[in-house]
Amino acid sequence: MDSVQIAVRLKTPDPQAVTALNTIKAMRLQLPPIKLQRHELWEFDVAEGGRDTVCELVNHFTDIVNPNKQMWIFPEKNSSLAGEDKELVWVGVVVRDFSDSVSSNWTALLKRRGFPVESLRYGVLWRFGYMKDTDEALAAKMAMDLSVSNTRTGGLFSNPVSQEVSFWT
Amino acid sequence: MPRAAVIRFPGSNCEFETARVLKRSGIDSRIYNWNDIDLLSYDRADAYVLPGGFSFQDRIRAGVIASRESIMDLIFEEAVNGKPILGICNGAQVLLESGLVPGWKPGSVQAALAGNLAPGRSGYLSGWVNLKAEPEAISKCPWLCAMTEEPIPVPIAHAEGRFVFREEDIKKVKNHIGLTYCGESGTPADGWPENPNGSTLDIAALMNTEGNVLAMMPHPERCFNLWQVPPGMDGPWGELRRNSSMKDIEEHPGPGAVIFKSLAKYLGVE
Amino acid sequence: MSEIPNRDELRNEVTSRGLAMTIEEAEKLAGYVNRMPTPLEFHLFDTMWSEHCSYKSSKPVLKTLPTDSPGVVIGPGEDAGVVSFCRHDGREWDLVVAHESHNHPSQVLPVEGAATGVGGIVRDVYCMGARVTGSMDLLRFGNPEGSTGETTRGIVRGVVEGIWKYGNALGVPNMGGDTEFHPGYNDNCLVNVVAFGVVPHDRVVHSFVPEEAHKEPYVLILTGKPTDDTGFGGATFASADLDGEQGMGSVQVADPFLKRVLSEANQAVLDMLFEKGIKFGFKDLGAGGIACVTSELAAHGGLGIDVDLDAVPVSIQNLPPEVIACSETQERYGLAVPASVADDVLSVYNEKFELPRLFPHCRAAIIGRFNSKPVYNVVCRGSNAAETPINYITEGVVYEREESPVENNLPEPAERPCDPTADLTKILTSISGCSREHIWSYYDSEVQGATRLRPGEADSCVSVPVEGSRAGLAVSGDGNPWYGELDPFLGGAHAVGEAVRNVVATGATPICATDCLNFGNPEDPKAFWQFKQSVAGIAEACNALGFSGADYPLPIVSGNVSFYNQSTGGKAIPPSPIVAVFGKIHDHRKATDIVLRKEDNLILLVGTRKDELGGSLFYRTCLDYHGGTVPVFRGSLEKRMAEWVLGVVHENRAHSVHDISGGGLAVAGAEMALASKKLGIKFSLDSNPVTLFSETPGYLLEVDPRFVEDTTLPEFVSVAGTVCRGCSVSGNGWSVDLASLRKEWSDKLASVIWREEGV
Repeated sequence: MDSVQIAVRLKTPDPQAVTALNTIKAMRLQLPPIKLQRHELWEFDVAEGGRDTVCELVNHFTDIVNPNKQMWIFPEKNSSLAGEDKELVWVGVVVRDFSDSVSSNWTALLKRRGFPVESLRYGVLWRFGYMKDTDEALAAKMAMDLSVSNTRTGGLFSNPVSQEVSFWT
Repeated sequence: MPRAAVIRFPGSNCEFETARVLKRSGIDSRIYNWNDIDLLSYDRADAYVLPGGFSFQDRIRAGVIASRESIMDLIFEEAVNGKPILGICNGAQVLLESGLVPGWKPGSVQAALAGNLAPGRSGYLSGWVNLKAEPEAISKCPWLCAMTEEPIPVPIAHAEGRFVFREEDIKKVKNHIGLTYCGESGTPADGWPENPNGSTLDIAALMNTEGNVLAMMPHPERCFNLWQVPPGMDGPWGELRRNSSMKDIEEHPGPGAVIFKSLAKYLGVE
Repeated sequence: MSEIPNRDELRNEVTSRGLAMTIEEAEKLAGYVNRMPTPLEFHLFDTMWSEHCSYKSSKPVLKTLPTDSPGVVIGPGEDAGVVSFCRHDGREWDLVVAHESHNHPSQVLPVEGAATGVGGIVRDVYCMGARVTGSMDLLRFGNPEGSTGETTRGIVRGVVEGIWKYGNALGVPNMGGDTEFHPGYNDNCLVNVVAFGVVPHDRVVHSFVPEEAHKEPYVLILTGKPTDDTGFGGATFASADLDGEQGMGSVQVADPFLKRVLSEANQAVLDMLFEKGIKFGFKDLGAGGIACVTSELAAHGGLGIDVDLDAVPVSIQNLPPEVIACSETQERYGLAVPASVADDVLSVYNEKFELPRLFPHCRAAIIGRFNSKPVYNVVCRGSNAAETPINYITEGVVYEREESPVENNLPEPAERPCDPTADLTKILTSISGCSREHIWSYYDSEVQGATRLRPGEADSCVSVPVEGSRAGLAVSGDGNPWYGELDPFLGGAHAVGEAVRNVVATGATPICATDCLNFGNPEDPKAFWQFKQSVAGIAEACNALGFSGADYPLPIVSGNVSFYNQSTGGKAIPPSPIVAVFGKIHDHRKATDIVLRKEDNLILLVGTRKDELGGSLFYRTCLDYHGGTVPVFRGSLEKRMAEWVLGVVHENRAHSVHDISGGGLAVAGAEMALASKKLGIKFSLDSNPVTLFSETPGYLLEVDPRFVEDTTLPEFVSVAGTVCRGCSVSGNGWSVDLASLRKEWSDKLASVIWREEGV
């Protein structure tokens, strides 16, 4: 069994990322991220075919990737993603619901259609671009702080009661 | 006349009908913009309503960005002071993200309104559900104090309406239940669609500890009048609607009116 | 600037810029400016002379549609049509209606295409000064079933998602619409959108700079989303062949959040201007962006304008002038106000509603000044980007297209075996005949708290749009592609007829209509003939179905033409005239729905059944036959039926009403029973396919048994059955238990399209 991830992003500026970055600015952090990218992250547990299977299903369903508006890649560990500013220090954080109907409905649909997919999980990958030369450990800590909403003045990107949040590596 | 403030965030869209039904319940209501903070702090209201809509278009997740708006400091203060506060739909999402509900430790986020869980679909769902009030909620919540234990049909319209709690908190939650989804005759909800979003313990509305703050996913302001009830609906409200005279269909209160009547009763409106 | 260019130089420009204009049109433009046109001028005229903006092929034909009636305030020509609606509290209120298509964008980017479709049409209504109180979507998709339906299924899911994500967030209730599936739309779906709203008569806003601008300085304020390059070329794209991957970059990104805030800010600005008694012009930005809005506001007010592109708020630096000027960035409006109040206006947008804080680079700004010199003058970074006599911009072009009839003599089927129980079951569980409930379940139809009847409860949705008034507004949109395909004239006529019946069935009197004409390539004489036939059908029906007294027609007050709806192979869609009808019921408390009320009540049949099953659900679903005679359009009978039904409803004697259309009398009866849940109908008629399944226009009416004793029924009305206990429908020798069929009927679309079961 292979686990295959794909990251999908809009070709145009993502309004969610624009609003999120705008909200971060208003928080007046000492060292806010300069850039913010939003990707949809799909993780497939594939019984056979690995990436070929994923390529095939991506070609079938424009709901997952519509090439007219989105770009997608198989992200490598620690790899850079399209469109990012290489000078910055990037930290990726993945937010997923503990249970969500997008994942369960797509799993059922793909199985029904005969794709060798055991399960899939949908999530959002937020990538925070910090000023160049920022200490990587510090950047990681700041990104995680921003990603967890424990209090009404705390982070933004996940509600820890219903969502899990982890570093994307 | 007591006064209610309806708080409009960027992207709210139910502020007008909410203000209208408050007025019709004998409460003077006025819409305040998110940045009318000075005006509102000087001119405090007797009750506050965060209306439905899509504040900041549910970006990141529903309610979270609005919960960071400065005007929420004022709402927070009034909540702690015991003023009645109602969040409807998106307003409920804002209240949870602000840590006002369930409010074990005000300001801490201790519950979530997560994406609907429904068989074979995801995203938005609109339709009518039946709601039942918990006896304890009737006795302590200013938004429910005129209710009886009879169920009422009310419309829902949301994509993120599933109350979720940490496992260890579930026991405590029971004292915070305001309304639950139920069957037409008041029987516990039998899964989907009676519970339309997979909400924990069938919760449709949740209170804070004191009961003055209520986060409610369904839309009572959309069924303030009998003529707003669907003609094909099952149960006593459907019967009433189908058999009503022209006079009654206009004058008889709809099932949602009781939420605003409750506030009027609590504030001593005759 | 340079000398008049020759044909080759022009051809080079047209090709390298990817323009849709012909060489002849480019020559005409060069002649106007007397030199090589600037890039901005090329793009501006390319948009203004596109089919979408200029109606260059359709204009002569559209002139044959009736547009005049005593209630019409503004007919076709501005962004939306306006008719008088009701009087309340000493004030006259008008109804504002608009209807458009967003077909091609929705085929390639279903979510964004449908969303910007909704966005564009509500802007058209907002910019007349109205509050938008509802929208409708009229959707035509290919066949979603089987392995070849995969593209269609993805498009349906995306279009519905786009509509809910945008429409729900805007706070405009969805007032239904319809969805049809036909393999002719496999490569080219139709997304037609309708929006409507109400405005006090004395507050209707016009889309041109007012008279007063001849006397005092007026400026042009641009407000909304900062300009970018995403929509560049969109208007041209909306009427070009769907050609593989081309034109993908030009679809717009919708932002309902900004739109909602802007709408409230606009309302505040308009309130302020009206209170101060200031005259102004207001127009939304659509095709052609800033260039169109600035030139049209000025030209239609008889003025010229100087536009400063450096003052335009942008989100991308260093865009070329033609992109800034012609980009179709969404969520923007242009406002022509006196210079003396400009600061007050800017402060509502930028301070009270905090546009700059809510979205980076978003703000209202002064970008132009009107003047009396009849020139459209645009400056960018110190140089002239356009300098054109302004009247040429709005003058347009017109072509006389050739037509050639399409022979379509498909006979009746040789045999018509009919087993009513099996056939009705088959129809109700087919993609064409099943419930659309799953689609509506994504839409918010109750926001604003004024919805009286929702989709599925009655033949049209009804709302009570003017606060405090009892006046009800009923809306319905229709168009049967299977009729259009067999007979484009009847396709047009019945689109009007059915929409009228749907409105009448709720007790509302039709007051106006809009149309969206979706056809193939107008340069193809066959497609153009189909277009002309359908328009003639619409005209005939509108002339027959006026309800304003005397010989006044039902006026078409707004609309849109969408050509080039075809696959890459060049095969056109079925002729698809789609018509929306708006009706008024004086007292909404009298509105009727389709829910049966009482056991033993009688069911009356209005409209004698005729043997005309061509294009019917019965032929298509049960016989798999796609020919035959489409129902005749009988204008005067339709009108008499409608007047009779309205009379019964207004006397409060109709308990429920449903029109007869797709699927005929049997399906109409079944739908009434399904809506009622606990009651059904027992028909006392012959069980033959003509009686049960012919789609001859008509109505079913539920009345008390005493009604037939004290009322003389006209010749077109007869007793057809009785209301019985239990959710079923039956007749002589047949019976369908609808309680057990309900799940499949209501779940079919979700099963095929959203869950892809059995495909």
